[in-house]
Amino acid sequence: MGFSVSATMAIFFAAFLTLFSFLYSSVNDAFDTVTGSFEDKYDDMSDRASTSFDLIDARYYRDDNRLDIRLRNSGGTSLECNDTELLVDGMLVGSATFKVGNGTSELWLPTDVMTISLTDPNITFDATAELRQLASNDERLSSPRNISVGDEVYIIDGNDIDVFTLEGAFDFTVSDPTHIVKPVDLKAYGDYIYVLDNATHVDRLTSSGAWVDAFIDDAINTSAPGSVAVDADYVYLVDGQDHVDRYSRATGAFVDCLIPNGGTMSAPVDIFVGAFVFTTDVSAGAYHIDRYALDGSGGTQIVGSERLTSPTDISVSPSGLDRRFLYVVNNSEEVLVFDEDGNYLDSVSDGLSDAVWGTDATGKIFVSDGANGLVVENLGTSIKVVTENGVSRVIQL
Amino acid sequence: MGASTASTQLIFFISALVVSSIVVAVATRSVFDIASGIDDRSGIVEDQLATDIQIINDPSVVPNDPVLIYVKNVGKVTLNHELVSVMLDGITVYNATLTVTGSGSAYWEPASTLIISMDQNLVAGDHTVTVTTENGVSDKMDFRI
Repeated sequence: MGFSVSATMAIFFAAFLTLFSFLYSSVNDAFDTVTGSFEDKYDDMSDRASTSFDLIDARYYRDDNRLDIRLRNSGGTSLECNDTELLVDGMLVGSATFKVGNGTSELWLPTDVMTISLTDPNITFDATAELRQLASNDERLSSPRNISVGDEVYIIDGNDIDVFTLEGAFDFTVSDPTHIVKPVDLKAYGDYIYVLDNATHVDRLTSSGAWVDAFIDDAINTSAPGSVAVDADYVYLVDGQDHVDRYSRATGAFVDCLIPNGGTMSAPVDIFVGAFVFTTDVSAGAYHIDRYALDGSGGTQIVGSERLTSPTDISVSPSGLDRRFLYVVNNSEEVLVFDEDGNYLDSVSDGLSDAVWGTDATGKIFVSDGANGLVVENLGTSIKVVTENGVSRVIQL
Repeated sequence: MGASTASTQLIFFISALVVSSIVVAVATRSVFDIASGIDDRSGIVEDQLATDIQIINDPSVVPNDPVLIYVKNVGKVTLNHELVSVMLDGITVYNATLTVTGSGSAYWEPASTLIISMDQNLVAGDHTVTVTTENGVSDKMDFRI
C-alpha cells in the first residue's frame, strides 16, 4: 500500500515538474513577445512624435505646368521619401515624384529638403478673403500697373519694374532708362521677361533684370503695339491697327497677322494667351471679352458689357491645367473670375482698394493694387502631405 | 494469506499507476491547451500592437460620388485588404471597391495606401467613416461634405 502511494506521488511529482516547466516556458515566451511588441509600439509612437516637417515654399511653374513643393524635415526621424503621399484638393495623387537632394537617396534625413514635383496639378479656384495675404510692400510701389508672374513677380511701376518673390516680399528694382524708356506691358515666360516698351518695341530681359535685346521692333507690321502675350511658340501683340500679330518666340521674326480687325474684333486693349487667345475688346464704349482658337479662328464673345466696367487687365490659368479660369480686373476695384466659356463664377474684392490695375494667376492670384501694393490671393487649392508614419500637413495654394 | 496479500498489493500498485497515468495524461492535455492558447493570444496581441492604420483624407475636401477614402498602413504588419470593414455614418458598406497603391503586392503592405471607393453621393453635412482591419484595429474620421 505504502509503495503504491509512493509510486503515484512520484508520477504526480514528475508530471508536475514537467508540465510546470512547459507551462512556464510558454508563459515566459508569450510575455517576451508581448513585451517586445509594446517596446516596438513605443518606438513607433516615439518616432511619430519626433516626426515634423516645415513648408519652405509651394511654387507653380506655368511654362511646364509643374507644381513644386519643398519641405524640410524639421524632426528627428529619418523617413522614406517614396513612401510619402500627396493629396491635391482631397484627391490622392499617384504621379508625384519625391526627391531629396540630387535624387540619389530615398532617405529624407533630418534637416534635408525634399522636393515634391507634380505635373498637371489641377489647381482650382476657391478663393476666400480669409486666405488673403496682404504683402506689406506698398511702399515699394508708387504707381503699379501691369503684372506678370514667372519665377518671381514683375510689376511695372512708373518707368521701372519692381520684382517681388512669389511670397510677396520685395526683391529688387529693374531701372534701365537707356533701354527701357516707358514700359507699357510685360510678360514673364521661360528664361526671359518680355517688356512692351514705349508702345513701339518688345525688349527681352533676363529673369534677373538684365537687358538682353530689342527682340521685336517692327513698325511696318505692328505699329503702336498696346499689349503683349507669350506662349511656348509665339509672341502676340495687339497693335495700333486693332489686330493681333504673331511673332516667333525663337527668332522674333514676324509670322502673321493672326486676328484681323473686323468681325468679332473691334478695338482690342489687352490680350492673354493660354489654351485660347483671349482679348479685352471695346466697341462703341462697351467692353467685352472675346475668345479665339490658337489659330485665330472661331472668334466669339464670351463675356458681355453687362459684367464689365473699364477692365484694365486679363489673365488666364495656364493652358496645361485641366480646369482653367479667366481673371479680369474690373472697374479698378475687383477681380472677376469666369470659366473659359465666360460663365461668371465669383469676384474677389475684399481687401482690394479702388485702384486695382493688373492681375496674373499661376498657383495664386497676384494683384497689383495702387493702394495696397502687391496682393497675393491664395486660390484655395488644398494640398496635404502625409509621411510614411502618418504625420501630415495641409498647405493652401 | 501471504500470496493473497501480495496479489492485492500488486493489484493496488498497478491500479495506482494506471489511475495516476490517466490523471497525468488529462492534466498534460489541459496544460498543452492552455500553453497553446497563451501562444495564440500573445500572437494576436503582437499582431494588434504591430498593426496601425490611418485615414489620411483631408477632412475638408473628401471626394464625393463616389466617396473616396484613403487609408495608409502605418504599422509593421502586411494586411489583407479583402478583410477590411468599412462603416459610413454607422452603417456597414458592403459594396466598396478596395484598391492598394504604392506596391505591386496584392496585399496591403506597410507604408502603402488603401483606396476605398464607395458608390455613394453623400448629402451636404457632417459624416463619419470607420475602417477596421482583419485583426480589429480601426481608425475613424469625421468629415464634412
